[in-house]
Amino acid sequence: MPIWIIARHSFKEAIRKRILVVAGIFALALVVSAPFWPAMTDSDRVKLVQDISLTAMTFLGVIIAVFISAYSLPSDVEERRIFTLASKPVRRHEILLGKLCGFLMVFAAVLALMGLLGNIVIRSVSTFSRVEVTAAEAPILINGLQIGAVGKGRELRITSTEGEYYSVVLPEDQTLKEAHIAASDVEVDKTSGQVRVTADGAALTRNGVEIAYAERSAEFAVKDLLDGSYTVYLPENLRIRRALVPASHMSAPRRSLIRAKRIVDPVGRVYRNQGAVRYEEDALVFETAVSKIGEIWRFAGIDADKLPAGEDVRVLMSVPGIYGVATDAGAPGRLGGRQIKEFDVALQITHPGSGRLLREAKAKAVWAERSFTMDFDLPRESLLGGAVDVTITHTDPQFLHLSTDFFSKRRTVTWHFEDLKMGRFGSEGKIRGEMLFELRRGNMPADGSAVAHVEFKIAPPSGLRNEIITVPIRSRKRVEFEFSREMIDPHGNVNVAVHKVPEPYAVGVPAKGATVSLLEKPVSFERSYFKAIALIFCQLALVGSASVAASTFVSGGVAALVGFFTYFCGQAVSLMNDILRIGPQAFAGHHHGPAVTPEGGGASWALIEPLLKVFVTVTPDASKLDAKEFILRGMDVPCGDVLAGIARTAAYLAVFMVFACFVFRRKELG
Amino acid sequence: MYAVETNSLTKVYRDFWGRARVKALNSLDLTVHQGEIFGLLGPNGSGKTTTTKLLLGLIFPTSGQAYVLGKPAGDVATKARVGFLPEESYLYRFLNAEETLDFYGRLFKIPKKERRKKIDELIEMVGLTEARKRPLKEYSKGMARRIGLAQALINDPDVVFLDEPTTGLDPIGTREVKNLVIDLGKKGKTVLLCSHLLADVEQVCDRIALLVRGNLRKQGAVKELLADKDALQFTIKKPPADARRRVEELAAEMGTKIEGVENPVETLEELFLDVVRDGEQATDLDKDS
Repeated sequence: MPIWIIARHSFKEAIRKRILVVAGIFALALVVSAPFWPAMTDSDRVKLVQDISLTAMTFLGVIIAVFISAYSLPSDVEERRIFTLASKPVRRHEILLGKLCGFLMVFAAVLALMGLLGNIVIRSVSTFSRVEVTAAEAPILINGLQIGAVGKGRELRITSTEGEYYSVVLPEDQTLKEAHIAASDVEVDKTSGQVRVTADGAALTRNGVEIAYAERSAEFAVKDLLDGSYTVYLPENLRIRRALVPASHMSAPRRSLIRAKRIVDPVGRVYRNQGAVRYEEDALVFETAVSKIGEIWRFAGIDADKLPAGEDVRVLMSVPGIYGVATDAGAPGRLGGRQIKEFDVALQITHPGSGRLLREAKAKAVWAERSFTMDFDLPRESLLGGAVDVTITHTDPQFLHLSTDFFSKRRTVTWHFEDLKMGRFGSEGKIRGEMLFELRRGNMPADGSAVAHVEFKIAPPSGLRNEIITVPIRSRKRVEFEFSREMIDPHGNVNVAVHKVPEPYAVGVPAKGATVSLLEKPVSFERSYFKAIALIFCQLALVGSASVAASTFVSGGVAALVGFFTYFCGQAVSLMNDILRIGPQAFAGHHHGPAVTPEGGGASWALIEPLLKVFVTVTPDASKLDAKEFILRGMDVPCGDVLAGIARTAAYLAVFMVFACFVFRRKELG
Repeated sequence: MYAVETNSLTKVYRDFWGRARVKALNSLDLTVHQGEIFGLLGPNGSGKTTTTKLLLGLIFPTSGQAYVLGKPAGDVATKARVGFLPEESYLYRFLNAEETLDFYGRLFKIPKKERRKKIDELIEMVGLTEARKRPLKEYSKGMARRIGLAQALINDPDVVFLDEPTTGLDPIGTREVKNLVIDLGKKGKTVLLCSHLLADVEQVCDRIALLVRGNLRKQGAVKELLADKDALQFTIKKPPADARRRVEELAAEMGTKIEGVENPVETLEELFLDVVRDGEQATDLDKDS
């Protein structure tokens, strides 16, 4: 096959000319630029690397594709190598197609290498350093006391170094799932086999270490009933997943290529929520979803230039979605039969890096429907660092208190989808989940024949958008539900809240069953990345074949211009489509001076429209070959899109090459 | 069937607008027999290379036909039996000698084993054994010429087009190439040799054609063309002392006389120059009229 021989030859030529060095430059650029990426969190950083790597891959790829394809044939003709080649028993079109195939192989090799290196960088960014237990056994410590141990050779992920300790993510088998509770603080519910907390706050302990705190009337499934202390299963949201291990017992951390920023503050508290920041004329607005006293909200990305003037900056903190308030039963916001209008809040504002206390503030919060706004001042300099942490330390009356008493009509539960941190979820617009609910009040037959159509509010923890879904619930039955992927924030968290329960029912989440599992299988990031790269390959094939076709009748330089022109036209198609959709207004809108008469705008539009229509019909649309949006939104790239992209590319490629072969067949090579 | 045959082969180079710029070849009728070493002679720009390119199908005739081994020029199957060494060796600088020959060998679909053998043989033959692994970009002009020659012979061709095969070669290399051409002739191959180096052509060619400004001025066997039909030249080995006197007597007896007595000289050059002069005058007249 002469085509194959020439293809191999062209490939060899490009490799010998060290084209692949470009991939090395690409990887180096990614690694070297890493410290300058302005991302606060791991997942932001991962998204940034993905974005940069795909953009750089396209950019470098197009340059390589254009130059290789545009200059190859003209330089063969110019340097007369074509004489020896064309005088061999090969047909003209075989030379052309052979070259193109060789170039396609080069593009594939370059992209494969860049993809591999990019993936290594992305993985390196997305994983923390790991350590191995070198001592016979290393204790797992919480509050300085041992709650468990890991054996030699065990590998753990460290999230930060705390003096002589590493903060580690506990492996699944070491995750603390059960705890002890004093028998005096609970009563045993004989029918359900659970214990119910009777004290005003009961300590959940492990080896004498208090690890969590349970509210009155919280229920736990019992594992073991011993005199004096019961062992109970911890609900999902109370499980201990991080702890300290002594560094002396561990190997040195294996450094990742790029050190990820810690999201644990120096005192070992993991901040829970990332709030959004808005700028108003006279105030800075923090928006967050809050559920607990003591939780830290981080407000990052504050732009000093946008801050309102003044020594002290007025901050309005808006906290929507406060549920589960321990007030009069079933009547949030009411206390002692009276509607609460205002309440006092004590705040601590701390430095996000060091945990240093910047200011303690008191604020008046105005209660509105399930949300409230706080108003306080912050010294300007405390905001100049770009981020502050805010903790509510105390409220009066005690509103911001997530009760484990779930028998209210409203309840927010936040699930952290750790798996989604790499943005691994499927291509369809919906996420499917499964959850166990209970219906407790009213005449709910135990056989599950009654159905309550309960509304749930699904929202990201920022609370900035939400979605209401209606789910038919039967008592103690697992229910499936669906919600939009946008509701999962970049950190992989989502709030699921009961929004409206039809009378006479009430809905609760049992301590043991407070789990959500995704029914949709997470997709692997690599697969999406591969598909995105496949589409980039299509782009390169397009500009490459356009350049090759042009190089059959113009010089290399002009052919390169044609290649770039094809690329930029491809980029412009979606814009032109938008203009076509908007119609003459888009065009008339740019006129200045006297108002444009419909006839005037129409006339020039009549001229422009057919040209635009021809342009968008003829030009290959690059936006159809760009899967970056999918990747950045954590979605799987639909296979259909990839196949359609390949088919479109193949069609354009065929047209270009038929034209090129036709020209080259009668070209004088001397 | 002729190895090469052209009928009124004409080539006019045109500019971008299609206007005739130069008539490189004017109605050329050429026949090269199989097994013949044929020299195509002419000054620079006389149309030798144009003829070769037309015969290989690299460019296309304005009018007339060209046939190689009985098939129209550019026929793919015929090209498998043709070897070509261009005017200068234009090869891929990133390959070494072995890879170069391997690449061209593959294009001829020569089986791997045979190809390996042939490559070794040719590298040995052109004297590049030492440099076989070095990339061509490091080659001197002479070495590039040798590898160019090797690639022209990779397919054991029946017809070989050699365009100025000895340029860039030292006298020894020149001699080797000439011997090679003679060997090819002995093996029954047809060789079409383009050159303006008259000594080379005279020594190796059976027949020649002389081109001037695209016109064929002379065609025939070297010996015939060089022979002066009105005169006879005798070469006597070891003539006796009175040889000249006795031959003069004999000539007087025949009613003629000896024009000159000398050792044989290079007469091709004179012929060449005459033909060129005539040819140029002729085309000038054409233009004037």
